[in-house]
Amino acid sequence: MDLEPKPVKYIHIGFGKPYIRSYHIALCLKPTSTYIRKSLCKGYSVEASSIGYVFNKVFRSVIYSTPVNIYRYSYRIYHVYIYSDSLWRFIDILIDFSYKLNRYCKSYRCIEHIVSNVLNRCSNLDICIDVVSEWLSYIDRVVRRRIDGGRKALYKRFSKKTIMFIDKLYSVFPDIRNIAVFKVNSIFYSSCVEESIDILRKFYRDDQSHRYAENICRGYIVYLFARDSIFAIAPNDLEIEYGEGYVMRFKDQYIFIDDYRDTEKYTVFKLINTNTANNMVNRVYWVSILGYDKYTNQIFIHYVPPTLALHSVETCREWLMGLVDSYGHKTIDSYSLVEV
Amino acid sequence: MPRKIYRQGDVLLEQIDWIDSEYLKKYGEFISDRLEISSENGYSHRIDAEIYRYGSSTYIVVEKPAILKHYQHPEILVEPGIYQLRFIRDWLLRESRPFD
Repeated sequence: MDLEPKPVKYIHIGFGKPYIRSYHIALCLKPTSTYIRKSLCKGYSVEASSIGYVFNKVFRSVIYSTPVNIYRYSYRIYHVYIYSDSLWRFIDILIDFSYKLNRYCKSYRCIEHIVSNVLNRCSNLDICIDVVSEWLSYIDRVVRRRIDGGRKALYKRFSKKTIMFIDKLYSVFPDIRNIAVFKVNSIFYSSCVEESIDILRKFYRDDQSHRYAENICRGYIVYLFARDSIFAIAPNDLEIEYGEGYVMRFKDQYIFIDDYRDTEKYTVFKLINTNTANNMVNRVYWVSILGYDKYTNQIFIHYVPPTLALHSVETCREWLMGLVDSYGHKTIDSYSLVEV
Repeated sequence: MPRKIYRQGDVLLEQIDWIDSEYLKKYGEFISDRLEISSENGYSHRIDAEIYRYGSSTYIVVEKPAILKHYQHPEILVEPGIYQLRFIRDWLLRESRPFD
């Protein structure tokens, strides 16, 4: 039989302030501030702006017992409670709830409504845990459905635009249906860079090859390049496939056309490489402009930030010239552009 | 008055008004009275104007209308003014950050 008394543990909750100080939740052996000051407690901090209002309101309404200690430290007000499994679980679940409620609700009224519903049904701590869990699983389901809806809509948009512009792409770049694919075998960063540089050096200057290679090897992603013809650099195990609704794909990396523009000086296509599965776009890897310069009879490809995924090809072109920022906002008020 | 921006291939000349030519001549480093930038295909962009380096940028002082030439591109008539030399940017050529 274990005769030694179990040490009492305390939960220290450091209340922060949105945009000023994070919340700090810690488990300590002492109720005083000493252990917190000396960083001897196990705990974590949570950004106050994402949980602040909901956490405060629900926690202070449900936990009636007075804290065993209150102190100020590091721009936070710490409340100390005697540890119990249900209290620890409640804090955990409440942080999750507060964070997700901000994502779920689009208005302050919605937050108020759910919080008051929770508080009306919380007669004690254990029931409260059940009520919050119930709301959490409901919110999770709805948020998941919304995210999937957005991903499906994105896939629909990209595949529709691709079908719309693919014939134009084939007429300007007929060899895109049969491009050379250079494979990179290395899975380690430094050897991948060396291998990619060896390929790129045949087409680009040394410094340019180096810079391209460094960025290529940061992910397991296929990139397209255009010199005399179009070619791709891909990880070794990704095979190219052509099909309907996309320009080409390498396993789950689908390359779509999102926009097109033809002028007397150039023809440009906006290409997007995405991670796509089950008719849903899960991630945008890169956005680029594949073009043909009618004056010089040259083809080119330039990459723009993925944040421009939903912008027009013209905005992407403006980014290349430094006329808009990575979010498509104009950086120069008024200008007259002369280009050839 | 709208700022003039000229683009010939990958080269951009952006008119600026935060430096005047006197200041540039006094504090900038005079490079040449002709700008010549080689493109990747071996041909170069050329303009007859005074070139200065100030800080990390290159500035072109065009005192009378000058022509920006390139073998493959049509010529552009550049109006008098002070221009900053820039190039087309590329997200894949961005400065890569070290891994965390």
